[in-house]
Amino acid sequence: MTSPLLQFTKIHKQFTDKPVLEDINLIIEPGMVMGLLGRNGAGKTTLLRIALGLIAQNSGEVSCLNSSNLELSPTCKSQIGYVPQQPCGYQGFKVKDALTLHRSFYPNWDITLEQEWLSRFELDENKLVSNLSVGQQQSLALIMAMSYRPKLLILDEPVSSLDPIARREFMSDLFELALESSSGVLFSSHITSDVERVASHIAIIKDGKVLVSGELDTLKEQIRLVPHHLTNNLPSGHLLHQSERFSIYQAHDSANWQADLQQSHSNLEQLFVELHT
Amino acid sequence: MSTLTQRNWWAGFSGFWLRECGSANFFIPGILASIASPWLTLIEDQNIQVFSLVFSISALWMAFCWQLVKLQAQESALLFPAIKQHIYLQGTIILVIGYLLNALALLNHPAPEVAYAMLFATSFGGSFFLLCIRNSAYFKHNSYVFMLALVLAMFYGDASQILALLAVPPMLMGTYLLVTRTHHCQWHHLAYQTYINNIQTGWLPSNTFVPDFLTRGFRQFFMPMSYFAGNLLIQTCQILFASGLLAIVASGFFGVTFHFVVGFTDMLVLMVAIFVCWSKLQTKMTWDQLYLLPIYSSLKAIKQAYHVSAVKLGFCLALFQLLILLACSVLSTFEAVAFYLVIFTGSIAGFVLCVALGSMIKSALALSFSCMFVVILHSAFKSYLLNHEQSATTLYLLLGYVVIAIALLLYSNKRFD
Repeated sequence: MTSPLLQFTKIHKQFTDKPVLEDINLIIEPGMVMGLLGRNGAGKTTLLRIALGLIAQNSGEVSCLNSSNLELSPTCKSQIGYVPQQPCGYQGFKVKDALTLHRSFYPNWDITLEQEWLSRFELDENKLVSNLSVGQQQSLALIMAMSYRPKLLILDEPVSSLDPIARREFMSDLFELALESSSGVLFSSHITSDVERVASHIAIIKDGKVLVSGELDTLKEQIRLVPHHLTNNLPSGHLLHQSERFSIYQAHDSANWQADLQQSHSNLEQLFVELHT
Repeated sequence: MSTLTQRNWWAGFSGFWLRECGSANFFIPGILASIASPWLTLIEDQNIQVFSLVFSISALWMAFCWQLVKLQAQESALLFPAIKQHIYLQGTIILVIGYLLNALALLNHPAPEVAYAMLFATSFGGSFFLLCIRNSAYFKHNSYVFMLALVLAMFYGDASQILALLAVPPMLMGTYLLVTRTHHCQWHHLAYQTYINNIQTGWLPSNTFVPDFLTRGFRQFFMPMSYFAGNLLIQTCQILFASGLLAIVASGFFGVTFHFVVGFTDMLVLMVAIFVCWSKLQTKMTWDQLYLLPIYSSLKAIKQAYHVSAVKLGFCLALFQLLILLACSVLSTFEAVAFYLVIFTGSIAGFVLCVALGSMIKSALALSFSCMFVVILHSAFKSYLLNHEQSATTLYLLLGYVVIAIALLLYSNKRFD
């Protein structure tokens, strides 16, 4: 059995008196692409920052590439790719100069991949980073985080400023890259269609707690939005949430759904919205 | 796969220190002043020599501090620690070069005086650097620390022993910060805010120390300039006011020369113009935003109002400078009327010139460079005029200066956004 690339165990974090994350347990294994979904302020960014040791958890443990998140060695760090929400740095550089300098920090930099992505994102190498649009700066940050083929990739809303075509292409590449090099990817996003398209696993965070987590296809089979009048003969499982219109129910065995509900799969967006109403 | 992990110490130097306006605005004046410092020893005025030395070393430290803020604002910087070491190396080399250039002053100046001035600048710059390593939030006070060092250098420029004594408190603080240091230059969640705020406000914190009801009239009088500069306009004017009063004290009771006060107040007047242009550019506020307010009839009217308020402000600041110099003259000796006329008119022209450039230039770096050269040329030109205030050529040159400044202002009013 392969050891997980990233593991959160009973993570608890609070800022002053306000708990931000409570009892978070998640595992990212090689080849896994986990989409982290949640509303603004749900705690997604905090969780990603904790994974990297940027901020310390109040309790619980994080194992990042078999090291504690608070004691990541330079070797360990060179195997992690990270794109924050606000990429800053290299403001006074031209794109090509920024890449040259950045490249010099990584022994395993894949220049072919870098060039491929530069042309895909149509980035002008001679442009100043500060003159790039927000989306282009995000593209550059993605190239910088992925061209050394990190084992673990952590992306905080990586595609929020990209146009739909670039977003779609990036997302499919992300998935391929993870499969090819057995990397693990943890990314947060608001765009449920993107998550649905590429994530192998998802975790939905609400008010600092993981409401739902697991393999996406399995979850789709297990979870149903059950109208209140059909809640009598449900298979064994548990109630995730009760919205105005539905009871959101997760069955232990997806085969046991009653006929009315067997084919009523809901998409991720529906599930996400109902979990928050 | 690339295995090019070797890099020269200067890799990315221009990007970090020259092209990014945050650092460039301290680094470029700092290194220029370092180059100028040894030459200034050829001038008799010790105040100017010490001031230049303190200015250059403090500015280089501030540029280094800016890099610390930027590192702390970058979450990803934590993931490649080599970049931190790379910037530290470049910063150290810059400081060493700065100190070596300033040490050339020893060729024409007593060693203790140079050493005391260096100690003073180092104690302020170094301890502030240690403070910024601890938490980038302290960087928002950088302009006050910088100005304090300059004002003290102005006061005690001819008494280096006092500067050495003044270096003791910051040195003690620096020692305390070194001893109690637990970590250094870590990512901090507020650092990005500090980074953005400092870029936008030109390194001044957003407090004005004056209640709103007192500043309301000021804002209204200088609208729409106050709209673009916000609190920055009030702050820079406050700094000008306080520094002006201190200059009178320095001139009357601390032996600071009249010419030094002229140069110092000149720099402060231009500083207000530069900060206003800087803030307008960095906050990316355009005329269109004002256009939506129901107080101006057209885009042309807004531009006109902006430039009229610039002339009004230039006039007020030049008048204040004149009052300071007259007060200084009361405490020493009066100059000829033409001298004051040159100062007053020249300051308005310099202010207007900076505002006109600020309206024409769209890049922060180009603005920094242009304003820096305007400050240098303005000071040199004015110095020439003041040395020949009785000649008829001075009058023509002054007139020419005013005409150029106004023509540029009118051109920017007509042509640029």
